[in-house]
Amino acid sequence: MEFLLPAIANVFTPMPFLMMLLGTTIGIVVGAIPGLSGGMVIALTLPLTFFMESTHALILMVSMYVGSTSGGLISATLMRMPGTPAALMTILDGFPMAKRGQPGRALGFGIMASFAGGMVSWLFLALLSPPLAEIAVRFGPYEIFSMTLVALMLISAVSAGSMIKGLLSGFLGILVSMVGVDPSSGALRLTFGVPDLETGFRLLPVILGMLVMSQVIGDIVNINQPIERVQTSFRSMFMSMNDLRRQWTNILRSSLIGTWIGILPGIGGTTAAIASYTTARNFSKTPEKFGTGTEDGIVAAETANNAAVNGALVPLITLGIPGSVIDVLLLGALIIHNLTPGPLLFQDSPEVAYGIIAGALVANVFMFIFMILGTPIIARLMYVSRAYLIPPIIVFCVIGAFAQGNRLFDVWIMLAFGVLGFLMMKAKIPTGPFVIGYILAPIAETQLRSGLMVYDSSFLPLLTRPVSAAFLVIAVLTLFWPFLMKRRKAPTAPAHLEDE
Amino acid sequence: MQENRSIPVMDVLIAVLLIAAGVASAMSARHLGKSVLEPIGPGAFPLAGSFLLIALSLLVIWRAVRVGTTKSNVDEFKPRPGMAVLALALTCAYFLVMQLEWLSFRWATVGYVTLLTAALFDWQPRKLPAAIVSGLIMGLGLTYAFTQVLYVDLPS
Repeated sequence: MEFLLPAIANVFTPMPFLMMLLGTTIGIVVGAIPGLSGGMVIALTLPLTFFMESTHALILMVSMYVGSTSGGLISATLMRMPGTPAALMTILDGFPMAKRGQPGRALGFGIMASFAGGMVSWLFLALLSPPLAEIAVRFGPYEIFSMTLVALMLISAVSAGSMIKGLLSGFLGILVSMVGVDPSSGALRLTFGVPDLETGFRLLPVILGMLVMSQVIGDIVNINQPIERVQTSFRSMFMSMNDLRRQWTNILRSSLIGTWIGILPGIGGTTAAIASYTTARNFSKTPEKFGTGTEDGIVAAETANNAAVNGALVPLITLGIPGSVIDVLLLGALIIHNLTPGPLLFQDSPEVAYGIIAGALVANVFMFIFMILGTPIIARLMYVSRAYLIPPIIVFCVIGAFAQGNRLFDVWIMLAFGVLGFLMMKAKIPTGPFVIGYILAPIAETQLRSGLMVYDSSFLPLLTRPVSAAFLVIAVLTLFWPFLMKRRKAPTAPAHLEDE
Repeated sequence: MQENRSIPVMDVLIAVLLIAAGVASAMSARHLGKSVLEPIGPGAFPLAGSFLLIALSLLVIWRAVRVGTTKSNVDEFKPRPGMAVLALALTCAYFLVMQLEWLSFRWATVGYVTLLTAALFDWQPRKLPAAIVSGLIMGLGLTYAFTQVLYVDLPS
């Protein structure tokens, strides 16, 4: 409370408040436009934050994260296209309800559920983070290495489809991160005699190429993709007291599921929405109505995907373990601003750590107000032709790639990674694991080698130190988690989910 | 919907590319010396990463050949790979004119955004004014915003 209340008050001072307003608004709009995503806009925003105060930059990006996760609801309901992957399950009931002539009601339930999920999970973020960070601050290099290993195992969890392809993408990211000067010995690695590679592949060109440019190339290839629309009218966007009474158990259950799944490394909003939707269906007295436009389905999916946002921030700010690809970008933002991700953040820069927590709260409240008032306008923006959006996005990528090192070489690197990312997407190789490997591998390597220096070249403390050993066990379990889930999911998943 | 099985060519192509990258990295990392402070040295991580990359790429090829893929014959819409190639060519030209200092960021961006927007609209004459306005806003507006407001360096 000592830091939290002042941090919340700080969000209401002019600059942070402007950042929060801007971030949430841009996030919602981008989240609502199919083909654009929260990850894209956060990656594009990174270079603009160079000259901002760290707290302002993080508030901006966290607000974008909150906004984009919620904005996906609008296109999922009105266009049958999830603006963000986390809104995938919202389509199942949101679109049929909108098509039945109740788009306002479908959106109203989704917005209320998003808000409630965000608020419940924020409580966990605010209550769990400081004590967790206090424990984690005592960790040595081997504990941090094991923790980073857990985060690297995210690769298996975010590998939708083939795990082999996910690991392939992850190891490519690890290899790319090794190019340049070795931080421990100063030796040049994998530069192949190219002087421009001596500084390595910089963060922004690689991320902008892999996450944004690849998606843009995909959007150009699919520029003829037709969009299904429903007639929109936005009457009755508020839930009645009766609706709230009927939904409160669903909201609470879905919030807890979303928060818990968010806290687990790598299992982001999409999985949270699927798990919550399936649970709501299993608990329902009328499961046959799921998928036909029931309020229960919209509430379960939207509550959980928003709860997962704050849930994923818990390991990010306390342990430096990102919960999703967007969290990896936030981790990158901390590094760019010369902040140490993890428990030291609370000790060295409490204003940033608590700023993130406070920003998440205020952004969630603003998201609710903005979406209730602004959805009719955003619904029109969604239909803006992609031909108008693509060229400016590429120009922003150029500025972002150039800004970090003032070299056009980085702009070419961004384009090269964009083409590589597009080819990977065509081969159904996910790009998320690449980014995770690229950002986390140098941290893991540095900590392991520091540990070896501290413990006389012995690997044994990795297993004998309890926290390190516990994290190693979690890392192994995380690696095999998708297999276990696959085995458990098979008999319970509703048939119509497979079609989606 | 008619379905047939085929070898996923893109999987094989990417895997071959990554094997080449893995071999080159392994060869380069092999020559890195040992560190005096710890036993693994600067070459260990790149070497391990290279070998795992090669192994996983081989697995992808093996799966592609053994299992294949199910390909649907029905497309909901016609993809435009040619448009992507044109966009990439325009993008390369955009970078080149800045690299060779033929045009400043401002005018290169005006031209690039106008041309790319017009191309994405299939050169429809009625969309041309909007494309030009978009180009002017991006070129002139961004130059002003980034150099006068945000103080971010722009190419050339």
